[in-house]
Amino acid sequence: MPRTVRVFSIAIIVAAVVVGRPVSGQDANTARMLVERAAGALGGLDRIRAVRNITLAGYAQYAYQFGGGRITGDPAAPEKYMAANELRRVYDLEHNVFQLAERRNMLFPFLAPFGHSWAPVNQVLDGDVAYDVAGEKAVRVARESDNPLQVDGVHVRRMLMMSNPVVLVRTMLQPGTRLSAPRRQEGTSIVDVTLTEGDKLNAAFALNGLPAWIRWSARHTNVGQMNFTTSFSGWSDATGNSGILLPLAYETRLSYRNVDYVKLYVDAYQLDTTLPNLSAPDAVRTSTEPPSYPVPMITSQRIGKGVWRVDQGGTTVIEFRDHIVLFELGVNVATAKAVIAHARTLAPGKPVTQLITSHNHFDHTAGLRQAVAEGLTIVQRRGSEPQFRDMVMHAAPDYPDDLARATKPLKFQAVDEHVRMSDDTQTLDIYWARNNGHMADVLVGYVPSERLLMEGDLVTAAFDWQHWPDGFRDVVSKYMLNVERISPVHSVGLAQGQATLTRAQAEDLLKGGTERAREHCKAEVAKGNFHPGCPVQSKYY
Amino acid sequence: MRGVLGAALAIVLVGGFAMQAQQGPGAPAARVPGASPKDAVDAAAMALGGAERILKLRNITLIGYAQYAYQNGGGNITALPGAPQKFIAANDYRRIYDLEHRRMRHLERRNDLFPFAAYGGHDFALQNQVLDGGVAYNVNDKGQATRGGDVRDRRMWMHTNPVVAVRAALDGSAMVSNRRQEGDLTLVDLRLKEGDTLTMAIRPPSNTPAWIRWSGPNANLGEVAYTTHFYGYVPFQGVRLPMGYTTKLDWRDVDMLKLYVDGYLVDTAIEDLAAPATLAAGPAGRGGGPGGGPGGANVEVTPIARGLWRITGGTMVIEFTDHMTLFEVGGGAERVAAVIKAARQIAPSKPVTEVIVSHHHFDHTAGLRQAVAEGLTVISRRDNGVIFGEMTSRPTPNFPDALGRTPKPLKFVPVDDHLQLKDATMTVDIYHVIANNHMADAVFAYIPEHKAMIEGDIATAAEDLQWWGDSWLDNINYRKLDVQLNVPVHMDVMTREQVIKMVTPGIQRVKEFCAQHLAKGNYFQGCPAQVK
Repeated sequence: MPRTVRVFSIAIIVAAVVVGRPVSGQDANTARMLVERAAGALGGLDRIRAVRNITLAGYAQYAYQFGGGRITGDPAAPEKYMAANELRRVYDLEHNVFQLAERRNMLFPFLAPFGHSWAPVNQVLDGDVAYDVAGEKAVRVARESDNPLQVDGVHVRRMLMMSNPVVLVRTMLQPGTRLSAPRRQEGTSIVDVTLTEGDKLNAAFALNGLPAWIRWSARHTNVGQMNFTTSFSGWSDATGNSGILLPLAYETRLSYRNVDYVKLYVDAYQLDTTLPNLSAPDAVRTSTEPPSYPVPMITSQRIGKGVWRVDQGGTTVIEFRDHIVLFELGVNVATAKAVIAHARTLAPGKPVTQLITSHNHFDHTAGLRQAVAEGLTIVQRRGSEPQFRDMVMHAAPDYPDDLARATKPLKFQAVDEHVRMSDDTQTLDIYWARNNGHMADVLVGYVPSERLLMEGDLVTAAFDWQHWPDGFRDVVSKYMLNVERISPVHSVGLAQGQATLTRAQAEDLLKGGTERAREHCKAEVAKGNFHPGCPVQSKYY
Repeated sequence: MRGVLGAALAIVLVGGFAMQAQQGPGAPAARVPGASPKDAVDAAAMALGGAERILKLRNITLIGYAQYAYQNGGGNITALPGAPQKFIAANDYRRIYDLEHRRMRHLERRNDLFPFAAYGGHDFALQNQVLDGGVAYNVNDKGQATRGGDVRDRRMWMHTNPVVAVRAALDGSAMVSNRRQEGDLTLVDLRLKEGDTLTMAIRPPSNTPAWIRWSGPNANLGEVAYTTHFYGYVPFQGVRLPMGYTTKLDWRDVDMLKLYVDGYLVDTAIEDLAAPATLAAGPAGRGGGPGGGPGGANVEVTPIARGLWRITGGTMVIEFTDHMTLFEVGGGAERVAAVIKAARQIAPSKPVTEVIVSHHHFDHTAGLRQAVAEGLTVISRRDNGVIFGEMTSRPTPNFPDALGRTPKPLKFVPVDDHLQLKDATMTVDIYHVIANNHMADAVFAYIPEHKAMIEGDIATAAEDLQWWGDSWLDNINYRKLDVQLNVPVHMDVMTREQVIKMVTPGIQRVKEFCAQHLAKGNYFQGCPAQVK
């Protein structure tokens, strides 16, 4: 393009970038010019359109549990990360297929082997079919899902595919893609994009024409809706001779506390290589798509006078004379709703008034928003309040849950050392479980009449390795509890049909887990790898 | 709150810690008790377990693991603030605070969480650093102690522990003053008897220390304030200690250190940390911050070709008709002052006017502030101007360097893809480095007359592991250059054949390194090797 023509085009774009104007054909044309300019900056429209596929090789780090798995609920408590090595992102543009492959390892002591096994993650999106590959097996996955470690599904994988500047620009130039009028914000021009499949995203372009970031949203159990913003930096010719610019770094930040959710470091790109066939196998394509957020049938077992344990998720229900208290609600919104409803059936006519959460981690607070939506008061250590407030106040306009539809403030009851809830029918002691390297603000519940302790992650985070084994004995000793049985949140160590652990079973779990953790540390040191959490610290085991 | 529970539910408060209902909007903000600095420290002492218990402490051992921001945040893929941070793991981490004898030992094993070009970045070698009063020393893997490390730096880190800091105020080894408010926090200054000052913030209503802040010199940034926040106070044998530490810099809010505590041991039998008598009598150690590098005295000038010299430590000097141009200013202010002086002596009539900086990483820019102080114009990739502007505009009120004493604005010439410096006697082409996963915003120089490439970290970051081993030839081919001589920052001058001979086995070693790790079930970042 002659220099004078290029300058003229840029001038038109800048002049047309306005705030809040309705979309018109002219605006879309202006947005299209913005995108065409980006294509030019990336290597040229024809070159972009000619790309058949891109393979990104590198490594990454994820913020554990979206930033909700830290030692406390303070927004600045040190972030815990998961490494994702042997990372591949394959963008098969010819066939509209995307593959995410990586191997993950927690960069902190995790109690189950999968946290440190580098097990391969192999997720594929073929058009409208999302499936996972494990060895020779390919399995279709739900349209939409989320858990404390990831959001997933067709929309999420499509958005991850779009989170590459060349793919993004190319898609924005496709005829079916709808573009809004650009608006200006902090030195960028932002365009709202609607894909032919209906997915919505925002794309921002820097003054130099290059894509600056992409933003999209997904349902998220803990905060209602999570917005992901992936910024691109470190532009370089993709392969050294490709004629296409691609970024050497991607950083994805969350709308929740601005957490740096993914830091992706690129080792290399390859363009237009011979790819394996990533299309969904016929058996996958013709299989029924699993339901999103299925709600299991809720069942429970009576484990004491006025005390039940819910089999799905490990909530303990405690009945008082005129109300019901729950201990833990670490299940997704729909299931949390069912658990609360089930609790009401256990003592008909009594309202469920309070939810005690063992600690702040996202796998233990997945039902928090539903509990608040249903008017429950949340009982936790004082240090967790800032996190819970942020979770409850997080907006979810595109994926409204009950709390977003009828906003309610957090009712929070702070516990420092000990709180007793008591009436003439029931007594429940809530204790701070003190020194624990996994969770500083951890509570246990204790029903003295039943000699029953309820806990989350103190004894039963996982079977395999115990990196904080002393917490159980410490709390029992400190408060002189006569514990005979334990109602655990996680069903670790429970046989089929069993609802509580005996104290001896808990001791076996802790002793065995400590020995297994020490063996694990020893094996890692023998490999020259000094593992976080090693050597294991215990004064009892 | 009680109304919600109904009259039938009584809440009994026991254990000496009252449950407090949520403060409403109209409730008065909690305050740290008293009005004097001493009152504030006493309140913190009470919150941490009581003055008597703290003063009776003999020692504390912190056990955990940590992550450091690589090069204090100055080693990322680009110089822009939003580039993803690279971290170093520090496992097998211990800090032993020998309060009885005012000594500290710091142990850790580091592993870079990104591909590092030297084996040392991934060997988990044990760091064993001790402070005994005014003597800092290190212990190697054979148990041999040598004097080294920065005494003040270690003393400040020793006091970056809430119990240690409060105890210092209680036992008179620190004077407390200047009580003031900063939002909800009450701040006091602690002046150690050695003269160093820390600020401690106390958060009501718990009255536990929220953070400790102190400043120190930094080669790249002039002066840095380190603010260490404490999270998750938990009791250990009668004292409360934090389970999480985050140290933030006052530059870009970098989380320079994240420390995760597995547990504490209190008043156990610890080893004798006293400095061996032979060390105590030796010369005092002096530590450098990141990018410290070699001292200033040792600069030798080696002629490479007509109008091209290399100075010890990796700065090149290029002679033009009426001025001299440098390439790279790593190694700290003292070295760079000596380098500039040496460069001036090569052709005394020609001023040293500018420096080409290969990339922004802090080991390559530790002398940038000195270069700007001496009036040099800086030439580098456009985005590096952002970080260089930040680095050279920071004040140094407590640890003044030349630029801090006489501030000067950064004079910056940006390079996008190519910039040619040319006069009647010399031509230097400066090119953007393409396809290099170590540094996106890097430049190299090429002198056509000598067929010489001047580079930093493209082929010569280290010999061991050539993670980006294709980059040198990729750039030569991309620019269609006839490179016969490589003049590097970090290694010796090499011919083209010598570079290839050096890089090729480094690529092979990467493949072997990856295979070895894979055999151990460890999927290493940077593996498999991305080389053609």
